[in-house]
Amino acid sequence: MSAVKIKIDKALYERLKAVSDKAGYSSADEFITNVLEKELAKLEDAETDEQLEERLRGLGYIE
Amino acid sequence: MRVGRNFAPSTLHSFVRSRLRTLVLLVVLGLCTAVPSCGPGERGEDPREVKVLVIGMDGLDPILLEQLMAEDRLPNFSRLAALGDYSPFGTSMPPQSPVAWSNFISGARPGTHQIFDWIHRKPNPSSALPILPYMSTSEALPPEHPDRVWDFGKWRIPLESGRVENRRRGDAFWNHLVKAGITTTIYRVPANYPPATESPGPGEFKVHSGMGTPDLLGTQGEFTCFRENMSVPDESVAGGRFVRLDVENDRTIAELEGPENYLLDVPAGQQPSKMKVELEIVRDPVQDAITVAVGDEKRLLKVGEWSDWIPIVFETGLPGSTVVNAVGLPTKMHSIIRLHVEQVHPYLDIYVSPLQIDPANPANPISYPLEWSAELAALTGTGGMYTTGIPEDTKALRSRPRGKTLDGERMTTALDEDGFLEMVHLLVAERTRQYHYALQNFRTGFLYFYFGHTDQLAHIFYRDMDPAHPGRKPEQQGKYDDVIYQTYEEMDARLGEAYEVMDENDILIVMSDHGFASFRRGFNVNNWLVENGYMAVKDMGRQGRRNGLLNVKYDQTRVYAVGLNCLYINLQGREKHGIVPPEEKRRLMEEVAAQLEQVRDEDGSKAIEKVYFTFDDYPNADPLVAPDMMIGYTRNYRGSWATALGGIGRGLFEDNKDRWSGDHCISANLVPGIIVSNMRLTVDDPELSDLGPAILQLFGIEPPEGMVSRNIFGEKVPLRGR
Repeated sequence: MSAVKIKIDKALYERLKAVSDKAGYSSADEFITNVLEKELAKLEDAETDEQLEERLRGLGYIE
Repeated sequence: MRVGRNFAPSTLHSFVRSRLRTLVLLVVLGLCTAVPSCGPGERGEDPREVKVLVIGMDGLDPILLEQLMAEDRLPNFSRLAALGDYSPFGTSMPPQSPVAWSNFISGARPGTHQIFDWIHRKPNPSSALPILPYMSTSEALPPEHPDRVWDFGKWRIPLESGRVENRRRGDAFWNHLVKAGITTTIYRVPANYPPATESPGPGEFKVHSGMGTPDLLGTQGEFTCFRENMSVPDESVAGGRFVRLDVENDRTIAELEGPENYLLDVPAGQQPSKMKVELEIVRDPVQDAITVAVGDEKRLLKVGEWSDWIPIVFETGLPGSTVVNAVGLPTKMHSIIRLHVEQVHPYLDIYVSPLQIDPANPANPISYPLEWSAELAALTGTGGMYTTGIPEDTKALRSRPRGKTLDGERMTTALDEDGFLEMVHLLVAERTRQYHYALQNFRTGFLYFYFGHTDQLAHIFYRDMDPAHPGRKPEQQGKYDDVIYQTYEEMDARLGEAYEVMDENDILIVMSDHGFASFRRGFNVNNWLVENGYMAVKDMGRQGRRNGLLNVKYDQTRVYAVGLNCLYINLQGREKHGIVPPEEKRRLMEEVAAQLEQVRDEDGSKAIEKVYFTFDDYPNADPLVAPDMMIGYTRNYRGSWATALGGIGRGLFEDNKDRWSGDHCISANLVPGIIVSNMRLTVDDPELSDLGPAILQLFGIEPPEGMVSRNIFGEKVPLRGR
């Protein structure tokens, strides 16, 4: 998997690291990726009718 | 267009061969001279004494059927074919189940019933969206006056309820039977949700909805997999959701998400809150077993075991329900679930079925009479029954999460092949009990019974019998090769059981809606449209399936695709951002069709048999509903996974590595269904839309205007004359 580096404040990173441990993530990186994916999904879904698309995606014929 | 009439060369050959074989068998058995000369309408029978059984077997394929009959693996099919008649059965274009079954139900083609694909689109939606895709067969409509609500505190009580509308237009043929006083019972014919809410006539009438019936969430089925061994708290996948279990001292609480709490006010900027049910799970510290408690229910389950049906209730929490009940809204929603214990040690792993609408307390009507669903569920002996339209949970087998296990490994799907097959066997056991009940209680009139797993198993296990399929896995070779064949043999046994309860003068018909083909390669329609200048997108690198239709630049797009076979012209005056003047539409369609029919795969194979012009073939098609063109793929091809909702794929063609390895959404003439009956066929090209009107004529009823008028049935051969 190709990756890019993103700079964040060190204090913020420490807080993220502490919380990610408690939340059961294996690393702060995994926690950040997961949070970003969720937020991104929310923003992308805000463009369309998420429920409608989900209803369609339950069909075996589409993915 | 006469779709379904031009069978593929191999099919045509076997079709002719089969008809010849039938003739030879008739001569050998001396049946030709034993056939009564009476034809439909000439029998002088009292229509109320006529008894017609139709068994619908979704996706039963003539090539496979003929192969297995030739190998003597289907004695009951062979017997009925020899006695009466057998033929490939012309399907709809496109040959998708909702379209095909609507042809059967309405006794007409898509131009009449207006169902053209699983997915339709609104060309000019009132929302900000450029176009709006939706499920073609039914639509949940909001209240007419959504602002009529009663606010108090955190509650927002609608004073009007919405409704679900069956979008298939035209009358079901069986309505005319009921009007004529004929007892009519319909088990789960697809594309008939919601079912009728009142009887169309004086005849005794029962109907249960099938394919198209949603789960309690309003989806086509969303499983939940509770899994201890996952690193992220939760992950949604197509058709389901994975939720991490945090287990302490061998005990955990799993929160099962239900529908949105529609009585709670949603403050601006916040998501509606969902109703939840808690499952208390206790793991035996030594044995591979758990106890699950939910509400008053408690189950002890061993690893690998499936639970019976467990009733659950989602509560809105509204104190006092007088006002809500007064406007006909429930304050709680009932569901039933089935659990499968995948693993207990070292990590808990539990599959929860999609939330079935509880047949004993249906949140939406799924049968007429309303209480009939509860009666059918009671027959299973397992506390309930599957009620979602396509209950075979193929998504639990196919949707693999991207997240990792606690050890950093890639997570597995919720069910593996064996678990999926067990689930299907449970389903088939339920359906078979109901089938036996239906047969035993069939005294007179019309009975229709549907089996759908024949279709879903063919979708999943086709690659196991196709040596050239790119998704075939060497390590699975031999393990599932016979699944589809065995399913045909089971159906043969069901047909044999029908024989036993039918009398000499009864009529027995077995039919399917389409056949099957391998799905080896996916064609990325949207990539092709972009490469050829018919479509523009914001980002070609956005390879993925979410929000593909929003990636389209409609002000620079002349043709777009929605659904599995359908193409639309971005037409001025029809589409919100239409740019093609109406006078240019025909020329553009001819140009696109000519180019598409020339498309070749990397090895030179032809991918598209024919592009159909909808309004030429179906002049009465609704221009706001129907596609302008329909792509008829050749065998082994289909629209790619990305295509249906506007997605961009990698290149023009992709190998299909998905477990969903067989399909039928190709050119209709290449995937006919089958019909076998003790009625002789009068035509060489029977098709789905013929059958309903022909059944009406068996009861002495003239098909009404709008239905096809030819009668495909000739002589009736006595069932006991074998």
